[in-house]
Amino acid sequence: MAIRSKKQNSMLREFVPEAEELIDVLHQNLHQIEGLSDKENVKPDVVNAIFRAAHTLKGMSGMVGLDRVCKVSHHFEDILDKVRMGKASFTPEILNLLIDGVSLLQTMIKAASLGKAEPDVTFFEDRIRLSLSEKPKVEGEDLLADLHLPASLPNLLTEYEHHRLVQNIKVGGRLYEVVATFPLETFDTDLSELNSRIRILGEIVATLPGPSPSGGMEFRIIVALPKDAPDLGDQIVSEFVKVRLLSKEQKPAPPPSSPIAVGESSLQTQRESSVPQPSVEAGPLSEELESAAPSDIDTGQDLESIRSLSQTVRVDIEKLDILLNMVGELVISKGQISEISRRLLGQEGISSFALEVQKASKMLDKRISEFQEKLVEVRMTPIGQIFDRLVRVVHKVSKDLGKEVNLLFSGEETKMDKSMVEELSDPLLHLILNALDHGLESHEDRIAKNKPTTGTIMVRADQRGNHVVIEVEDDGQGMDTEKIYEKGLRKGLVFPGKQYSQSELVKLLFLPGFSTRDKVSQISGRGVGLDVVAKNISKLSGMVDVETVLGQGTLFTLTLPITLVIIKALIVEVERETFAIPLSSVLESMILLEKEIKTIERQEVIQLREETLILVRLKALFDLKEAELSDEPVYVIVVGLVEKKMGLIVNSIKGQQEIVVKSMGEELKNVKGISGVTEIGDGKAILVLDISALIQEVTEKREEKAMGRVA
Amino acid sequence: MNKKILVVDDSAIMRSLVVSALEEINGVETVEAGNGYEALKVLPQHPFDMIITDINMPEINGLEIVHFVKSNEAYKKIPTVIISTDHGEAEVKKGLSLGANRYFIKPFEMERLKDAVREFLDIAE
Repeated sequence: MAIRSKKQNSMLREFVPEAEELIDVLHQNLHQIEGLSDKENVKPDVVNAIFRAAHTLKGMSGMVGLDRVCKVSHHFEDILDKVRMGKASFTPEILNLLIDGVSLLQTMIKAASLGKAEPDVTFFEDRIRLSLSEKPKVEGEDLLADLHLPASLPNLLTEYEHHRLVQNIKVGGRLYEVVATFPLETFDTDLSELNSRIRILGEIVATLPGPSPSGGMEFRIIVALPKDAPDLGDQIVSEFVKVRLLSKEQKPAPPPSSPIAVGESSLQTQRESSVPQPSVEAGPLSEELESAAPSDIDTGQDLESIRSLSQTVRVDIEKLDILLNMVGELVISKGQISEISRRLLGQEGISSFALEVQKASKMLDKRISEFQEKLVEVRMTPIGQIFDRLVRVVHKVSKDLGKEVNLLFSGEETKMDKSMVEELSDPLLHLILNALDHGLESHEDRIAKNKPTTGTIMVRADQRGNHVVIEVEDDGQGMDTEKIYEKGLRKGLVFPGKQYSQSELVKLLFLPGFSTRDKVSQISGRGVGLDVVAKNISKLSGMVDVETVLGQGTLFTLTLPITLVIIKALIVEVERETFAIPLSSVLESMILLEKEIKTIERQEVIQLREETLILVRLKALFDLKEAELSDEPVYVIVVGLVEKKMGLIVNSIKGQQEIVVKSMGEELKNVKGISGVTEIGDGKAILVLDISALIQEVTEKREEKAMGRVA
Repeated sequence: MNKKILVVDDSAIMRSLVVSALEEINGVETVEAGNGYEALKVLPQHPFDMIITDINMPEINGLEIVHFVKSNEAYKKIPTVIISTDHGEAEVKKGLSLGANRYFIKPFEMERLKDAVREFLDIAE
């Protein structure tokens, strides 16, 4: 299996967007600093953010083998470290150097993403070396001795945290130790709440976790407040939060510069010397260097593309959900407007006005549909994303099992709604582990059977209309339907003497607690049963099918809709109740008279071309009150998934409409045959039918009935 | 029974690099934490056999995690490895004095980390 090169590729693929984000952080913060009038007193948070971005970029690029990016970001980190430690400051010279450096990094990352060689960076390194060969400055002496610090504290601080502590003392700030005790279950949210309250008042220098004697978590937070700020205790103390002053009372360390600012007085001289220079241009030193290095960091064309390199934005899926919900509301309003327009058209005397409304309503319709389409597109994610994860697990498990396996994928680019892709990863993983564990024979068995020693598991994804079909196929031993039948007999799930088709028997595997192996292997032991796979897939409005040939292998086929959020639906009426049927599962619809319906074996059917189609009355299924019988024709909606079909008898069809499916409340969540609710134009809530569940329900009922007769 | 390793790093890509390297070792399972809070949260939930943590993380840094682990009766025996950059020599020293068992300075060879894991967990190559 070509895991290694694939992994490296995917590492680089992962690296580029993350690196671009870091570049953005660098860009934004540096430009922000460039715009400040007082560059000496840049907020420590900002400096640290830049430092951390450079630091992370260095670590990441080193790990993916981009040595020059690593080198340059290392220099970056050096400079920024000096700045954040107060050993250097943002002179125009250094700022320019950094801004040029970010552009250089950007060019380099772009080259890497295109698979080009990294550009030469020696000139930039020379420039940095010269810029830094000045102004050495010693970090402040140990002022910490005067504090009532917890003994372990100095050892726990990173160099930066130590520096911040010293700086705060130098400018006369007051230090506190806040001791907060929170329960184990909620400490992270409790603490971040407390931290955000403290941050309004001062700076958090360090957070030290420890177990609390009472069983929860205890945090000691070292907080620095500006000299003149009111006492911290009054503002945050509570049952769980205690505050202790660490600084000695009344011991002002009169700062030479302004009391609140955290800049250092000794930096003043530097700034003054650099003030007369125009801030946009680099100092004389770097100018000289630039002329010495005519092949400047960015050639013109690269400069143009500085901003466009970052073409992707990462968005929290929740935000997309919110947008989608809003579109859903829009769709409902749209429905109301088109309803009004329809009614207006029926009124006499205002026809021209009504036509205008209709025109506007249609335009609105079109725009919202486009909007919706684009939004759904944004949510679409290639299914290949989970394939990468599968490779990792399969690699490991196959090692555990001592089986050689070739895991092949096709259709990685097939797109589905992000939430569907996520929901799919578990069932898919289980099917693959199942194939690996139960499907593929052991090494010895394969040799004995004259099969290649390396087994093959093929995962194929393919879009078919509004559905995605995912197949998991192995070339293992297949399933012995005889064995399944025997097991079914023992469990009382099949009837002795009755003939079962292969597919009927294989379906038993999806029943809870059905396993053909007597010993539960380690893999199955940690996973879930096929019943859970079937349940999960059905929750996504999908279906599972199995084909198996003894000795040759097994094929699982998952059929799923592309998205569950916005769908086109057929709105139908049954005994004055309205339902929505997802259009993706509607094959056709027809009108017929009651007398055309035949009954075969107590089952209502009609002849549809060459097939006999089972009919289901929704009113019977949902126990609706029957209106009086009439000779009115009824409608049959033929619905189906894969090769299973049935006809739903309804009283009327109200039309097609896009709907936004919302999940049901807790108490209705488990009602079979309903996948959610939606609102249509008139603001009424209606139920959305879950066709896959209905088909399953109906087939099961029929089987039960059949069995009941035999018994 | 698989050995469980907690991997703490605020960079997702560093985590996935470390995790995929570790999972190449037979009988090793990993749990990831994206920051100090997450690490403290998952620590009591699994019987960890080893901890690998980055040092430079916002809010709760890696040294504080080492201190928490090594000063806690329930966890002090868990081998703990710190990962730092060449900037953090002073920090590495602090980490070792707090009881960290091994350190790595970025960039490093994943094979070396794997060797250390095998050594601490007593897994033959």
